[in-house]
Amino acid sequence: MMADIPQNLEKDGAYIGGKGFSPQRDSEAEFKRVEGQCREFYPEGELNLVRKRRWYWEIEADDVIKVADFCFNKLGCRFSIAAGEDTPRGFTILYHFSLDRLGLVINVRVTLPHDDPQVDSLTVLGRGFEWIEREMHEILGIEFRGLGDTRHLLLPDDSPDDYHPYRRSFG
Amino acid sequence: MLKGLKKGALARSLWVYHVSASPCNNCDIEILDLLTPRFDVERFGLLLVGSPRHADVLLVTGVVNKKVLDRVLRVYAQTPKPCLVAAFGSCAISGDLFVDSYNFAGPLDKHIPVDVYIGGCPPKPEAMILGVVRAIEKINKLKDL
Amino acid sequence: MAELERKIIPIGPFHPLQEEAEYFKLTVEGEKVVGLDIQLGYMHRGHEKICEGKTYDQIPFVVERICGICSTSHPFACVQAIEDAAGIEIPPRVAYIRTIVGELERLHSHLLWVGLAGHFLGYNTVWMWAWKYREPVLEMLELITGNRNHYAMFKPGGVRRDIEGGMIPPLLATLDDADKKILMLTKAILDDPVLHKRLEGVGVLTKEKAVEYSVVGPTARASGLATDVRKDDPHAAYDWVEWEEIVLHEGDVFAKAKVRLLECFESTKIIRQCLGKLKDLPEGEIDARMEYPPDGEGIGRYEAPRGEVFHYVKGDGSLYPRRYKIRAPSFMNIKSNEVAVLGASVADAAITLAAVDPCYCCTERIAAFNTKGKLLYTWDDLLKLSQEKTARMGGGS
Repeated sequence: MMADIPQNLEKDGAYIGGKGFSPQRDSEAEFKRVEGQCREFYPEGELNLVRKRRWYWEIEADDVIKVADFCFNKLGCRFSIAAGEDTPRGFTILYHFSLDRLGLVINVRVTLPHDDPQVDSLTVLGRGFEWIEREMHEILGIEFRGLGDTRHLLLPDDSPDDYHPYRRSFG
Repeated sequence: MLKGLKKGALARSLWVYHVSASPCNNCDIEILDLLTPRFDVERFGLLLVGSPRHADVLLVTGVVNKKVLDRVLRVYAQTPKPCLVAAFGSCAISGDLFVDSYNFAGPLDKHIPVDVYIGGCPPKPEAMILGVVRAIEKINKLKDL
Repeated sequence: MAELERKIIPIGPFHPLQEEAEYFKLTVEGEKVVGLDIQLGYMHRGHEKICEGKTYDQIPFVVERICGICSTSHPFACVQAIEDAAGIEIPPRVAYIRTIVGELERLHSHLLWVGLAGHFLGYNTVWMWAWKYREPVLEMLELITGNRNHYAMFKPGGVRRDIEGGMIPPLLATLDDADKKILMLTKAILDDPVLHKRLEGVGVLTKEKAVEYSVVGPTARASGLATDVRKDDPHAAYDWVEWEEIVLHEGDVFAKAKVRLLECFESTKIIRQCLGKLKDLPEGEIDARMEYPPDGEGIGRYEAPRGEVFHYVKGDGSLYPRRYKIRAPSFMNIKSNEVAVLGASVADAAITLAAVDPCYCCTERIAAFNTKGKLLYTWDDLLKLSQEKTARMGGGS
């Protein structure tokens, strides 16, 4: 019963548990390679390597599906969560993509104008994006184009349409 | 004499219905902990029931927020009187650190009358047993039933 | 295709709150679950907004109260986010103490889940045993931190209490005892043929769906995804001790239970090694002072018993954060139930929904309706169906 725990097996280059760590995790060459891939794919963006495992990538709002698809499908990241914020420059959404084999978090930021905050919904890539987009829609009032289900997630169903608690103008 | 018998019967076997308003689950786990062999409150006649219609005591955990308030009031309306309401944990008693939240609907005793306050975050099982003792004392003091 | 409609009167007492919107609304056709609708919001208390009004040393206390069962995981991720934003390095003793508290919490949480799962399946003895063996773990936590839950141990830059040399022998003794008991419980569960039949193949989450829903924790590791923040993102003392990451491939409820049980043994291994290393480090070095509040962004992650806890903080040099984002693991895991429970029979619905280890209160709010919207089974009915099915297969106690 206890003998069938996998022992640091690698199958076709994918780490599948056991003792030890992913063999690429501490490899400087691998970090450089991923950085090169990001810069080559979207040179218009501003990629800041703030810490070894925390990168911040400023991109245009119109390219969000293109870049998210690159992170989610090409690099093989897992979507951790997204954080919306009301800043003086506009509404920013910071998407957190986690590249688990390196322990790296790539934070993709888009900025939307205050008067018309609209961005494409990432639910075309997977169902894991739906709830956080519904949450940002109700607490900040951001429009997600293509988000089918816009019911209230966290706030009471009878909340008025302009009740957005995380806007700086609230309360 | 019948009144004394009723009171005595009530005091010896309290049936508790647990209402979770919006807790962090710690208080709920401590309530369930009381049924486990270490504390074992069933030997005192305490029973957790599945419906407010069978309940003598309403045990409310968690902070009352706007979406849940309706449910709490309805459960209270459906519980046959006389019933005791126990506010379990500092979230139910006062709102704890959530008083500043936009979703906060007020401490429990703003909405329904509370008889027993069991404080703590979470209250230790020993504190809950003390709360039960207070509840029984309160029942014995009731003039009519 | 003719639509099967159930016309049997609901089993059990009629739920007095039937008109209430439920958290989990199962749609049932005949014996099979064909749909799941999840409604949240009953637990929304506005933590993120509250954190914006608190200073950096108050925030760990606020986030602790997000969930009582993983009450160390949120402060762990929180202080790591603040330390990431401010660029603070923690002393090694702090790393070991944090790891010890985190792993003790993992032990108590997995035992809690095992107990609840036993209850849902009709093995009430398993429930009582698992929770009885949980008590020594809570005693160990009380010895170290002063409380059974909500430990208030973490602060940015260190921990608030030290583990003194005199505490270590009783901790090791209790740990040895707990190990024996957990081994007995694990053998009883994993070697039971009825449980194999009952749980294998139930509530399967395939690897592709696990990636699409971005699930984390034992839910992901039981479906073949080797994602564990302790191995992936170096933090605390996880790099300095030897332990194994448990990954299985079947994706069913049995695999999820096995991952959790086997992780308990890894936890005791980690705690023992950390306690051994503590003896060599001088006592008292438990604080790296945070000189200035952070001015910048920081991310802290930790592997809670349920999966990855993610905290993001944005500071602007003042005493209060500008933005604080919290994501609990169940936010990603619960949604995966949409596919895991499809096609399961009604009797298996209770254990499938509980297999991702949601908050206990979420499980109270499950009900099953037919396609016309009529209430068929309340949570108590679903529990009874589950327990009866186990009894029919010859198990339960």
